[in-house]
Amino acid sequence: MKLRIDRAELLTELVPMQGVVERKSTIPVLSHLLLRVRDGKLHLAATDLDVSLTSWCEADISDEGALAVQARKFMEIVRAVGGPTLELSSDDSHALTIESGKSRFKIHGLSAEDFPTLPDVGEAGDLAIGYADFKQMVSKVFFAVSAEESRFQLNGALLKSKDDGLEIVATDGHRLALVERPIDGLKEADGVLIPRKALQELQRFDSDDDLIFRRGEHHLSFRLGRRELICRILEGTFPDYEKVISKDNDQRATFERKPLAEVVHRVALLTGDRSRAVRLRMEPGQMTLSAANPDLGEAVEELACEYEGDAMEIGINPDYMAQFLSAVSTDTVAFDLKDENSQCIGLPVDGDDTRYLCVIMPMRL
Amino acid sequence: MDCFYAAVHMRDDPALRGKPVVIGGTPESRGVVAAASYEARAFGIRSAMPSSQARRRCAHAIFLKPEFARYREESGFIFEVFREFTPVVQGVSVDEAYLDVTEHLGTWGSATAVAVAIKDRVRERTGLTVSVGVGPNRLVAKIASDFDKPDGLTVVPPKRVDEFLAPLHVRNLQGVGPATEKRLLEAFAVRTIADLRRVRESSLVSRLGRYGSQLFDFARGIDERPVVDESVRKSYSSERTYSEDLKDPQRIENEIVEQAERVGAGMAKRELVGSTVTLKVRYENFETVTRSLTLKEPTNDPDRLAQTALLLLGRTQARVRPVRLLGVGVSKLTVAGAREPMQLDLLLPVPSSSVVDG
Repeated sequence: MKLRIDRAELLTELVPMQGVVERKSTIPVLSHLLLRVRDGKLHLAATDLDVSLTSWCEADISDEGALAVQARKFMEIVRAVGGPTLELSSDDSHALTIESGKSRFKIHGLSAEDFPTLPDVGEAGDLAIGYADFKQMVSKVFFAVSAEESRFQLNGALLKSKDDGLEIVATDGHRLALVERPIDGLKEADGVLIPRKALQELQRFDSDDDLIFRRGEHHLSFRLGRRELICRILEGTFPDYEKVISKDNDQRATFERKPLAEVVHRVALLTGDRSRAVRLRMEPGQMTLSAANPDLGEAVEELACEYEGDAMEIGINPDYMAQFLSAVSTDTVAFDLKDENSQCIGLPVDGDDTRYLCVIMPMRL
Repeated sequence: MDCFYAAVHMRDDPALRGKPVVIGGTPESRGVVAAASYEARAFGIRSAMPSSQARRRCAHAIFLKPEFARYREESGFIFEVFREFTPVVQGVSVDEAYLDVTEHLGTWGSATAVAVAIKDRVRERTGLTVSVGVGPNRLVAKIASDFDKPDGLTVVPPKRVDEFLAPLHVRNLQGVGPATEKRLLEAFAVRTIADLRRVRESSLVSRLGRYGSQLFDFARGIDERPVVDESVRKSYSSERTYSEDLKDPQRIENEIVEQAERVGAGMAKRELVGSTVTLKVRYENFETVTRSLTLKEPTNDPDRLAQTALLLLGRTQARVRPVRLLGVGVSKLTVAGAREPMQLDLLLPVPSSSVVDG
């Protein structure tokens, strides 16, 4: 292959590829990017066999061809060299030459034949949603996706079309986050589990375009402009989440979000590593947050809130609270409570037209 | 337990009942008394007394050689009963233990009700009587248990601790032996616990060192020492060798699920949870492999254990090679919901549409 390419444009496409590339893999080619020159473009692909990302750049092509190059090193070189354009060329020995101004690099690559064939999910989309909206939805539930490999069916989030709405739900068994956004014309359909890593990569882009979603037999495709992320569908049965959400948490406490987040952050400084619990003491008009640790000492802080329910004390993991408080976008938030052993439901107050909630199970103190 | 060694012999041999029985060395030997029945104690026979002296006090006493293996076995049954009520059992000897039931009142509702139930169950299972003391801490519970023997039940609620202790002799306090007793009497004219309360802490410390400070607290019924389960199990496991090597993957999976259930049930009974799950597989040529995985949160849930063990099965060759032994184990055990705050789980129901019949 031989081509001339805009350096900044190439770098823009290389950066998101790094997240997909498997760094610790025992299969060398998975730490590589596939470069393929065809149809007047340089096509790029990265995969870890579960999640793949493809994209392309415009280029002045002299010769077509393909090879796989070490992803990280290639990006580092493209980033480090100066000049607006790069010359890329390869010979039969699978080495890639990168020239820019007076710099010249030659890096060893692998044959394009060694690179895995990526699944083809097809062109047509099942659903289009503004990428910014989708990214925001994912960010509101991503923290609740389980990373525990023994609970594989929770290692992803459920994406579900409803009548005139799209829903994403995640749970790790301790909390459950659900976000729903109205989309006109959508029909109720079976949900599909998007694996954790795909969700993570889907939050890396920056675009005003629509995200086009398509469901294949075993794979999902997400197209965003010239990029396409394909992931294997996470197999497994997601819990019946609507049944998880309590309907009788009738004691509401309402807070200003920012001061609450600050109090949680401060008091959590005195929780231990082993048991991350803060104590929430609810009284009419006030919450007292405290933490005690035999090795460190104790912390206590009061915060005014709107609350007229019963006095109660709830133990809660401050990380779970903090993650909800940074994901929710309204200035005012509510926690719907029942008692010290029952779930507490975090909600936005006076929000936009998205439904959002985060169920958090307490800790027994 | 009440005269534990003697009680075991008297239970098994009706001819001994109602008679002064001494367990220990023979009177002719240089041995000493290990235990004496209440009938023997009436003659002034005490533990650690030379057997020859015991014989002089009661000529018709029956001397028996101790049979420690028998007592240990009996002790096992009794501790088993204790652990049915709480996992926090601190054994002091074969026949004495502290039980912390603070978190484990269950359906009993009160420590007193638990104590009555323990007494009944020990009697049912072993035919032996036990004296129980109930108190807000180890110090008070121990004194209360000695207060009314045999077959006693003494309950000292927190409010009554002061009046309960006040008239008792200082010898009742742990650590006060003849030497300390003498020192307290000579230095401060202290005989009873009420007397002891009048002595300043600094005076006690200057005479008795650090123990003086503890004694100052003890006199007021204060004892912060926790009940520590010293016989904590390090792991829980179940394994089975099969009479014929297993080849059918479905059968292998079923066996693993069954063992996970057994392990989970055993742990739940003792209110233990564990975070490291280990699968053990022995192939037909005796090659043995283990695969482990540590969960983020400890559990004793049979489904979680089975799920994890099946995941580990995928990292063995068990579905390809014949298997002669399978085992599921859980380690890194902790007491469920004891001292550390425990994260509660969401109940995650499986959708009804995906429930398969059978």
